[in-house]
Amino acid sequence: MVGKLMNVYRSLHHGIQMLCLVLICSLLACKQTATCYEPQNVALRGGFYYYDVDQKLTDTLLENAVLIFGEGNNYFQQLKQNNRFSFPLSQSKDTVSFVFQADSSSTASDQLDTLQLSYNRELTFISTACGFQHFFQLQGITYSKHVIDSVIIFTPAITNDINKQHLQIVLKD
Amino acid sequence: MLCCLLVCISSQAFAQVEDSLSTTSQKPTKVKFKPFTYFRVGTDITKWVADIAQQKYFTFEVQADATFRKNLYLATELGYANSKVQNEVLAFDANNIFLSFGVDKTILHKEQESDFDNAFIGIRYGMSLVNRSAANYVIQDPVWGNTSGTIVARNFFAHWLELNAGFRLEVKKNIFAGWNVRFRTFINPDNFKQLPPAYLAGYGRADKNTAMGYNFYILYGFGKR
Repeated sequence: MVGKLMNVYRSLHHGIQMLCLVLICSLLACKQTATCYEPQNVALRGGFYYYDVDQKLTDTLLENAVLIFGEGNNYFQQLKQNNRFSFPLSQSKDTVSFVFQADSSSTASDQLDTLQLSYNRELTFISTACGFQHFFQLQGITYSKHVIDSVIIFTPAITNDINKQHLQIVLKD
Repeated sequence: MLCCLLVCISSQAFAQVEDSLSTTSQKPTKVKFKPFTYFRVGTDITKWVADIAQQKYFTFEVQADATFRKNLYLATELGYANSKVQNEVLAFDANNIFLSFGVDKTILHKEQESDFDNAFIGIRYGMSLVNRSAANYVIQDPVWGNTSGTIVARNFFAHWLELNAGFRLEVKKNIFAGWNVRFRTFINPDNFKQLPPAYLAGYGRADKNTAMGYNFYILYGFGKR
């Protein structure tokens, strides 16, 4: 009986130790829920291309171009020796416009193209800490053709997957 | 050592055979186990600590069990929780009541019939009614401007299965203390894919399909031992 009671007390003691450990872990876990760890960057991603002599799509580095976007066109993305771009779409509208300026040093109208994207929005729950984000489904694109030859919607679904390219902008050679 | 043990066992066995031969006229008196003779009710004190230590949720849980078969107890738990999610991007409340029932099987040998100190393993089925308030959200977007909205309130049913293991000790006559650990998994996890409550009574963090939990119960026992 004494031996068993000793075992009982030992077990209870281990139980209390374990309980303390679990309490500390759960308090830490509670703190972690306040931080958003899931990827939230739901952005349109694209690249610049041209048709080579065999009419094959080949990517091209831009010397010194600029993308202008955002509410009131007050955001700029400089594309220097670069052929990739990304920017977020509006979470409250179903269309956005942005401007492609082929040469940042020139504001001549023949160096500018305006593009208008239309899309559907799907409200998606990310997590308690991150809240909601809209995912998008591209519906269409209209654009002027000063320096742009054509635009291809490559992947219509825009999610928080950063490895997908959604638009291919083909420039005139 | 093994030989000594075998000798002891065999000599005891022979002694029992001799006893049974000498008392063949007497019927062995087998004590029939009566179910539902001893009951215990109690509360989980870790939940009291959790209520004091943080402001995100309030919960309490009570447990009851009763002797059912030798080494087997019928057990039930019920409880309530309300919790709040409040951060820069999301705000909603949730509350739930739960009921779980199952069995606990003791795994240590009893030295006496009235001995209730034991380790146990058990299984439970848990169910809960969950009430979530309307949720207000904000999507922060410095480029195009923030967006906000409301998701309507929702009531739904949740249920889960649970395995547990632990220990109970009678610290004073009819007063028991004991701990257990629990592993739970939702049967209908889809209900929690969107806006899971910060805390679900009987389950724990509802944003996970499987959850580990723990309890430290203080119980009062009554009935015929």
